[in-house]
Amino acid sequence: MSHSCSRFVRHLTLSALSCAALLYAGHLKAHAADSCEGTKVKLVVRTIHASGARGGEAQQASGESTISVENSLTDLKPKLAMLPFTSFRLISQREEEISVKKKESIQLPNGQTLAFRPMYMDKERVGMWLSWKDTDGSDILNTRIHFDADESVLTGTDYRDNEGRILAIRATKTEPAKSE
Amino acid sequence: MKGSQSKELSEKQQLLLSSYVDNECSFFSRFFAERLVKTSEEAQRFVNNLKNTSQACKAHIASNDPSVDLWDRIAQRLDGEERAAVYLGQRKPVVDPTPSLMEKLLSRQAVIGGLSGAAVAATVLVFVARPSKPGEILPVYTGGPVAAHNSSAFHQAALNNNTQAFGNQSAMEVDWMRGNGSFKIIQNPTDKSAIIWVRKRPFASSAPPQAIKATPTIRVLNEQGLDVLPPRTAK
Repeated sequence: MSHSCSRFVRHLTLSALSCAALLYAGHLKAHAADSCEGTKVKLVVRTIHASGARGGEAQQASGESTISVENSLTDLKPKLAMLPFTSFRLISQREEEISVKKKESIQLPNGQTLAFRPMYMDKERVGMWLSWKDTDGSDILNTRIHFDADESVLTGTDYRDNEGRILAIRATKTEPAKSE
Repeated sequence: MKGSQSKELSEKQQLLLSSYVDNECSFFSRFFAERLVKTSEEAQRFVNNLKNTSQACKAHIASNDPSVDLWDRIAQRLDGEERAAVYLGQRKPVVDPTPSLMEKLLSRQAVIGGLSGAAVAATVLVFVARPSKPGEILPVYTGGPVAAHNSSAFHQAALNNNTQAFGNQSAMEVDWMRGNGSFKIIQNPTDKSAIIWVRKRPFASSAPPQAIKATPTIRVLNEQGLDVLPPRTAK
């Protein structure tokens, strides 16, 4: 009887430990899901066409006053002034709401595509993977960056002669009470 | 376990009932055996036969007078033990070490394997489910306002340094980047983030993609202006 009891105790102990381990792991996974994966990120992608190449040292010396920027791009004027172009025109603006760690892909006006995956989003910072592909499918830019939430990140590339194509990407944490 | 009352017992059931009659089964085995006896007439018959056979054997042994006088043999053995004790010393009873509960647990390979498997599974789930944090990403360090770092503490220190140098400026951090052209990072010290400019190669579609890690070669040092394209030159 003592032998059977000891065997029973062994079986019971093993089962209890296994269950405890699985429950703990499940709790951690649920905690991770609650803390990060349920977060929604609102991504605003603006495609900007830049023209009027500026050359020489005199170009940027004049700063923002010499560039022409649409009203919808006023918030980006200080950044756009750093580029060697005189005219900036908004081509398209896309807004996507996506969950953290989910991948999304959008089509840009000129046939290029932008794929992105927010890795995390907290109060101040956002981490994101971006893949900007050209019309032939080649990578213009494939990167993983971290930047301030609600701030625009700019990336651009050459487009035809003396022109450029710029993407302004801004990520905002979606909250139920807020509206854009 | 077959609960049918009319079917014959399987070999497994017969072994279970035999161990039950001999009082050599575990707690669960005893439970299953008793339930089988209650539900199956064949099992009852089997158990009764075993008990009857056991009793018959005992009775047969008890009824037969031994032909050998055992008292003589016992006395001879006692004399032999006394003589042996003179040369070999007194016999010491062998203490049967009763293993502790932990030793019983650990002695079983299957138990150890089960515990190890549970621990490995829990560890894997912990690492898989853990949310990523900025400091845990393993970027290549670049330094400066456009920085990649590999520790939360360093990240915070870098931000603090940048804040002191440039006011409320915060860093855009690049873990890695690759593309079909050359990269230029354009940053204005008064602005909050940098612009990543990709300068395409003439035959970008056929050229292999250039992968660039955020190595110290593209470190952005606003203090000295080294390796940084000033706002006036992006091309």
